[in-house]
Amino acid sequence: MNHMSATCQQHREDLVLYHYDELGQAARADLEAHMASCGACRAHLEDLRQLEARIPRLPSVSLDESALESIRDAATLRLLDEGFPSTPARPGLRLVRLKWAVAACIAIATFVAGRYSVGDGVAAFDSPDIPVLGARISDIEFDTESGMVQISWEESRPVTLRADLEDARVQSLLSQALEDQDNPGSRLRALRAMSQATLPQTAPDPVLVDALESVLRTEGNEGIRLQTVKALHIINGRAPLPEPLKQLLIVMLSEERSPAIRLEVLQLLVSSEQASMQWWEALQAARSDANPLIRRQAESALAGMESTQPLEQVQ
Amino acid sequence: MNHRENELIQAAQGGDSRAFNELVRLNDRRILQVAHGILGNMQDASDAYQEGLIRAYRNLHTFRRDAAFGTWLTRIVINQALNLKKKRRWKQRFPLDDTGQEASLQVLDPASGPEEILVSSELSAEIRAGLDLLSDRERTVFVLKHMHGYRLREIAVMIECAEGTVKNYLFRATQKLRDALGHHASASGERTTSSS
Repeated sequence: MNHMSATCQQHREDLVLYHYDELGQAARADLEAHMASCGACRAHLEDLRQLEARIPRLPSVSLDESALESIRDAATLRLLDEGFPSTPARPGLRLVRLKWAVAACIAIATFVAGRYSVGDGVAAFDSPDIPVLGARISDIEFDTESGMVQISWEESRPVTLRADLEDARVQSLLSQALEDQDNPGSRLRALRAMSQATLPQTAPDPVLVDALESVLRTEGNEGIRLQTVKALHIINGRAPLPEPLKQLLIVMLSEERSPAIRLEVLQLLVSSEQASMQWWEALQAARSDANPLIRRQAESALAGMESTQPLEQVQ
Repeated sequence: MNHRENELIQAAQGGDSRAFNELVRLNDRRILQVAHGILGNMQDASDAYQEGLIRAYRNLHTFRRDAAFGTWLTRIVINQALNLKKKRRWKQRFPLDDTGQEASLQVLDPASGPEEILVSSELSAEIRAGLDLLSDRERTVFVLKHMHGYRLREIAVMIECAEGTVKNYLFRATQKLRDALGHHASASGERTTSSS
């Protein structure tokens, strides 16, 4: 008997709950008693079981570690933009901060009014003679329209320097921002500015390259390490890498947990590397990387290397 | 909520970013999979997840521990996923191709460099088309119940509605899928009838 009675209609929602083991004990017994004598409801339950055979009870997607790490890296960068890892503001704390902010604004306004006029250029100015060593950097931005890096810091008055990435003062200030352990926001902004800039025509300041290498050796945050490798790529261009940095990057190519970082490292090494047996071995190892993009790039780099330089000539 | 999670929540609410990270890492794979089930592609799922994470971080002080942290975070990401879906209507944006097939290995935004995401699709085009017939809420409930095995009372917390409403969504979702997939199976002669 397969026709649907009014009683069957009432049981239809219960059948779904029964199928998913969400029915209470009494309702379950009631439904089982009904199904014992109702072919239509038994057939309906069988339909639900067929559905289960068609749509497995599994997530719609499998996420391997490399995919998950890529998403985690992106999420970390978004959180850093939000001020992470500073303490999330609580309502009470916000009020206290607001009071301090108002007090600070009044104090600054009083100081400025007493000491400077607007014509004196209190807000910001650009001078080639301002010393930059020891500057307490407050902000770093990259202006995509002009291609200039804009860095602000405190001297006897606020100073803003706008210049391109090849400017020695910009590179010195960026080095200082990178080395400022107490100000991760400043470090991140420096990395962001470098990552967005265009390739300099001149060789980078070795102090800046050292500072970037130091970040790679000490920074635990994967998002910042990824930005650091990107910045190195921009700063160093196609120039040969200093030997200690090259060694560090080769180790990172095999040991970095994040595939996004490994891939960026591989691209940096490919663009700057002179042929060497060690580099060839690193590429061979990268051919077995868990991430298919890295494997593909390593294959391609090896093919390019072997076509331009016979293997027996690689030293 | 176990003791360790309690400790982590307390530390995270006190400003310990590592504790927040650890809480997130305990849940992120599953939450991303839920978002993927709702949105149908990993790029949007990742966007919804990131937006949700930022909201969770901003509102961590409002978390009162009346549910597990994972449930709370899932609820936030689901809200983001549903909002995103309203905006994008993935059915229009990602139509199936003429053959109804999609490569099992999707490379998303291949020009974007190291942030590329490789995921394996576990669903056939036919099932994805069936899921596409469901309303956003029906699909969300079906994904949470059928694919992830949450209890109805947990789902009610996650989508912020009564348990009875969740039952109703689940009922409607299974009816629609049964009609869509059952009809297809009958037409292709795959289905076997049973009277038991």
